[in-house]
Order: sequence, then C-alpha cells, then structure tokens
Amino acid sequence: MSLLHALAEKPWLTPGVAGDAPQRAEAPWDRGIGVGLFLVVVTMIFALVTMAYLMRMGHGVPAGSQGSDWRTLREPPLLWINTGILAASSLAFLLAERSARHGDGTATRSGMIAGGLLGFAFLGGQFLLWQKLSDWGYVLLFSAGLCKVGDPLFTFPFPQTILGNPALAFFYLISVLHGLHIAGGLVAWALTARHVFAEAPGAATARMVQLCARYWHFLLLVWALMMGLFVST
Amino acid sequence: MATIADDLRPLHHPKTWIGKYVWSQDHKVIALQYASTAIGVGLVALVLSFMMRLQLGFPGRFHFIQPENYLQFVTLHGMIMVVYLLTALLLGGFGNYLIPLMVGARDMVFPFVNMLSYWFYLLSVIVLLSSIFVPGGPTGGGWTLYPPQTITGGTPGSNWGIILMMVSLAIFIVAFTMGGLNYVTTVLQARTKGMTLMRMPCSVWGIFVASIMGLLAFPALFVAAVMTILDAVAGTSFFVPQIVSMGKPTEHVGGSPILYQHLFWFFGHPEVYIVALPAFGIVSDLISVHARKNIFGYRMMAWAIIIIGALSFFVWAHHMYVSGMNPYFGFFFATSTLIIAIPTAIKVYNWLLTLWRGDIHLRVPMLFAIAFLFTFIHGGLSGLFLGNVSVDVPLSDTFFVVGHFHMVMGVSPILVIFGAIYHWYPKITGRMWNETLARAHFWITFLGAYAIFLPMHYIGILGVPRRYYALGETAFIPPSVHYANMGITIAAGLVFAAQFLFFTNMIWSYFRGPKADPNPWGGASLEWQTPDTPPTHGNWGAKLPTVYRWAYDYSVPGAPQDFIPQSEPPGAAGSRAPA
Repeated sequence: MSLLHALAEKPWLTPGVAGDAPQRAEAPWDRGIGVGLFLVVVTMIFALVTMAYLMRMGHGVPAGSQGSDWRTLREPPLLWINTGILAASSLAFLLAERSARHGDGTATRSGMIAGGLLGFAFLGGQFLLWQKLSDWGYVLLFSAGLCKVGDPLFTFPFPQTILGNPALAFFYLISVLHGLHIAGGLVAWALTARHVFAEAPGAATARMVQLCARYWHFLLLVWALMMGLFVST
Repeated sequence: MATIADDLRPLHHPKTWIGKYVWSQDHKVIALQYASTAIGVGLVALVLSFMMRLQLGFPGRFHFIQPENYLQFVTLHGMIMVVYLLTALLLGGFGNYLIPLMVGARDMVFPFVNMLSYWFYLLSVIVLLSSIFVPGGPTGGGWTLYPPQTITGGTPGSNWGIILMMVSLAIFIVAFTMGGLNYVTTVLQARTKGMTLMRMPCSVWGIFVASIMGLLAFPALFVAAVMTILDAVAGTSFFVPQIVSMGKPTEHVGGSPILYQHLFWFFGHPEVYIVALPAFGIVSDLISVHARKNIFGYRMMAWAIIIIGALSFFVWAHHMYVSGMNPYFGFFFATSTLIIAIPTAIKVYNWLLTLWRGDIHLRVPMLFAIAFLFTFIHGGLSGLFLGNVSVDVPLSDTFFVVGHFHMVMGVSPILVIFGAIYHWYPKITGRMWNETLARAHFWITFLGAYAIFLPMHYIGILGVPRRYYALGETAFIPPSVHYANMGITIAAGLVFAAQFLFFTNMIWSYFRGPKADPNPWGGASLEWQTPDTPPTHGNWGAKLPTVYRWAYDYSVPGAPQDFIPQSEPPGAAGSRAPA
C-alpha cells in the first residue's frame, strides 16, 4: 500500500484488521530504516556545512577578488591517495556484500577485513594530511589574544598570518567531521565483523554486511562531494 | 529470560534495582527519567525567570541581580525552557512513554540506543549547569547566542560560558538524534497488527512528525555550535567579522554573523513546531476523550501536522527581518509564514468543532486543554503582526515579542503538558491525584499566565525593549509601564508558588492517592487497554493486542458504552459494523 493511499484511509469507516500494518510487532528489528534515517541526519550536517562554505566564500569581498580573506589551499597529493584508499575500502565492502549474499563466508570475511583495514588506513592518511598541511603553515591559531579562557592549552604560538583563512578552517572542519563519521563507521564495521566471524553465513549476516557496506558507500559519496567542493573552489 | 509467545525477541527482564531504574532500557522508565530531569532543569529556568521579574518589577531593589546576571538569566532561561525542558519533555518524556503503548509495541526498536539517549541528555544538562560555576559564569548573549557578541569581551560568559553552552547543545543533539531515530523507526516498524498509520492517535502523529523535523533541523544547530566553538577557541572567522572589542581590534577577519543567524533559525523555527506538534497531537486526544466525541476531521488533523512540519522549514528568515534582507526574500518569508497559518487554523477549528455539542467533562485535563485553545489562539493572532515585515520591524525586540512567543510556545505547550500529566498520571502510577489541588493549580496557572503575558503586549506596543536590565528615566515610557511590570512580577510570583501545588499533588498522590481505575476516562486508544496498570515491562503480557478500529470511537450510536477500545473486534458487544 503506497504512503499516499495509506494517508487517504478513512479509519472511521473501516473497522476490522487492516492490511498495511506489519503483521505483528516482531523483533529483532531490521535496522535498515534506522541506518537510513541516520544517514539522512548526516546528509543534513554536510549539506548545511556546504551551504555555510558557499555563503562564507561569497561574504563581503568575493573569493578571488583583491582584499578577500578567502585564500585557496594547495592540495597535497596525499589528498588524492586518501580518496583512493576510501574508494578501495568501499569496493572491498561491496565485494563483502556480494559474497555474503551468495553465502560465501570466507570471501565475506576477507572483504570485511580488507574494508575495515582500508578504513583505518584512510583515517591514518587523514592524520598525515593534517600534519602535511601543518608543515606547510596551514594551521589554525589557538589564540591567546582571542580566547579569554586563559588556559595554556589555548595559547599555541602559531603565526597569526594564517589565522584568517576560512578556506583552511572549512577544510579542517569538514575533514574532522568526516573523520568522526568514519570513526562511527569503524564501530559499525567492528560490530558487523564480530557477527560475520561468529555466525554462519545466512540472511541475517548478509543484511548486516549490506547495511555496513551501504554506510561505507555513503561515506565515500560524502567525501567525493566534499573533495569536489575543495577542488572546484 | 522469557520468550513471549508472539514475539521472537527474548525479553531480558532486569533483575537488579539498578538495572530496572538506572540503566534501564524500558521505554517507560526512560520516559520518566527524561521527564524528571527535564522538569528539574525547568524548575531552574523558572527560578531564573522569577529573578528577572524581580528586577523588572522592582528595579534596583535586589542587589544580587546585577546587569550581567540579568543577561545570564535571560539566556539560560530561554535555552533551558525551549530545548532542555520542552523538547526533552515532549519527545523524550511523552514520546518515550506513549509511542510504544499507543502503537501496541513492547518497547522502542533500539532500546539500548534509547537508554544512551537519556544519559547523553543528562550529560548535556550537567555541562550546561556547570557553566554557572565557571569563571565568568554562563553566557549572557541571549538565547539565540548570536556571534560576535557571545564570544566577544564585554558579554557575560564570553569565555567558558559560551563554550560550555555550545558543547552542551552539541551533546543534546547527539542525545536527541539517538532518541529521534527510535521514535521514528518504532512508529514505522513496530506498530502492532491492524495499527495502520491512519489509526494512530493524534499524539503519535504529532510526536512522529516532530521527531522527523528534529532529525532534519538539529544538525543546523550542531553545525552552528561547532563553528562557534572554533571561532571562540581556534581563531577561525566563520561568523566573526573584523571588529574592535573593548577598544582593541580582534584577530578575526571577514566572518559573517548573518551566516550564523541563518543556521540558527533554520533550526530555530522548526524547533517551534518540534515543540508545538506533539502538543497539538496530545491536546487533540485530551479534547476528544473528555468531550466523548471523535476528533473532528481526523484526516485533516494528521495531514495538517505533516504540512505544518514541512512548511516550517521555509519560514526561518522571518526571525531575521531586522537583520536586513533582499525585499523579495522578505516577501517570500512573510508569505510562507502566513500560509502556515492555514493548516494551523484548520487544527484550531477542528478542536473547537470537536467540542461543539460534545459531552464535555470539565475534568482537570480538559480544563488545561481548553486553556490551551485560549492561549494558542491568542499567541497565533499576535503572530500575524510579527509575521509581516512592515509591522514586525517596529515591534521587533520589544516586549510584544516576549508576550507573543510566551503565549504561543511557552504557556501553550506547558498547559498541554500539565493536561497530559493529569490525563496519563493514573496509567503511569496507578493512582489518582487530588482534585482540589489540581483545580487550584489550574486556575492560578491559567489566569496567572494571562496576568503575566497579556500586559507585555501593551508594554511592547509602547516600545519598551526586551532584554534591558533597567529602563531608567526614559521619556517615552509612561508610569503605567512600571505599574504593569510590578503587577506582572506579583502574578509571576503567584504562578511560581502555584506550581508547588502541582508537585505536592503529584508526590503525595503517588504514595497516598486512591487506586486508579485502569481506564478512568474511558479512553479508546491502546495505552488504556494494557493488562496491568501501571504497565509492566513488555507492556502487553503474553500477547500483543490486535487493532480493529481508529482511536476515536466515542459515543457511537447503539453502543452500550460511550467508547469502543481500539482492540475490540467488529461484531463484538458494543461495536459497530463497517459502514
């Protein structure tokens, strides 16, 4: 029954057991809707950050004009390598998903291990990337002059010339948010991998691997879009 | 471990007191944890509001209220009431308690995540309240927390206060996301046999749509909070432009305060409806049950909830008229704001038409429901003034705004919450409350709320600004304003005191109140049909209920009782045949 049809029901006219409800409220629940909703929330976060990025870019003196505080970053090659690692991770999950669907336990486990390790590798690569940017002088200023907290934690003596570049700030913000998203994915991966190694192949395992893979494909999609934003602006 | 016959999941009944009441995964216990925490922190906000009133009513008499304290009270009061009380209580409290019971489920779909949701919420409250004790105190930037003022020297709490506020909000959003995912998935997946979408009570509709809205809107606040924290501690300039603060130029350059405002209000306006929609749903059920009549225009009521929810994402900039915008945008947002009045008015008419020729029982929950109609219509009408750009600009930042939004999203949902607590208290505790105390509580609260907020409209139209610690010798302010302020403060004190009648009643009745009938109001919806009162873990005993009808079969001609429970099959005694 379609949603519109369900919403058009006149419930006062139709006593009796109706057809569109689940047969009974059974557990364990399929997690597909929950995972999907969570990804919608994450989509909102990245969509809003993207809107903020574009608005901030065009604020005041437009980016690229003389006097603009928006200074485009150089892209280290590591950025592309990391993106490749994430794509490979997603591919490994795709293979794991297919294997799980065909009941091939060994291939599923291999795919899961490869996908997870590549996920860790991506996260490690991102740390190296931030290190690289830092070496180039692209650092945020934890400023004593600005922050009145008075804690030594916030008083790193970084050069102030770097302070005002919003392109850099957005890069750090987006890559850290995406890194947190990856960390969440690694938790989901760990839970799924535990199930894959503990249980025999079956429909339940295949579904778990499918949802885990879906999450990782989404991670790749978000990163690809964010990369597109960085590179094109 | 017991396996329930029709439910494949083994139910793990907690064996220890801590498992049952502290680290509980039972939606009912989590609901009570949410509710008690929300009401507790709400009391803090209530005390803060009374302190503000003391200053406004009797300026300078109370030396412990200094200008910076006043601004901190304003800020904390607003944020606590909107987010940590109303959102948490209506969704975390009522959402948790009612959804599984009303849709015929044993629990939420993800009970562990549900439990985590509460503990994250508690953590967010602790972080928020801890800001009272840090150097500089809590932030005093106003509940909207607009940068650059919130993080710039001179504003109270511009150091630790604002950081803790933003961290607390970010934690709250994590908590809400975990809870919201549960509410939505439970409605979508865990409805019992026969419970179609259009057989759900309006309460579930309101909470369901508000939860979806929260999942879409809170990310904007999350992003704004993270970016503000970075502006405050990491030296970024997302929101803060190049400014001179306390005589010295700051290190910021180029940030956009308007960007923050867009993010904040993209969350902030849907937030109004995140609070209002559950209240709309609940009040529909209160009115229907106590008027012994089916809710008028049920489908329109459900559709209006969905339409309001969708439209509320297209009106946010009406909070920013005075920030300046392209006149076409102003026109768009004024138009969308007025359009949202249509589904809202449909709901109001339907409530009134439900009452029309109903068998109205003026019990305490019904009194609160009717009081809500007064305050909501009142607040809605004053909203028409503020929704129009040209009228809004002179009224902006005056007490008229304070009167308006307190009527429409302060007093109105609170009245529904009181009505709902009185309505479901017998089911939650198995006891009845004291009628006399409850009626005294109602009349003082209702009349007192009018005595507080109606004069504010008058003060606002005279041009008295809000958020001012003292008005001083201002020429355009007549003496009547000062008398009105005194009167408001006295009324606020009475209303404040009257809440102790409520708490006394709730606590006393829990221990000494007479045993309640499992269905004292003759409710048709599922939560009144549980085998045990209060419902036990798993809610439904050995067998889940099957639903055969909608939740509003009241005063059906020919039926022996004036209600037919949702779980009663057609053809059984008292039910009617299909039309």
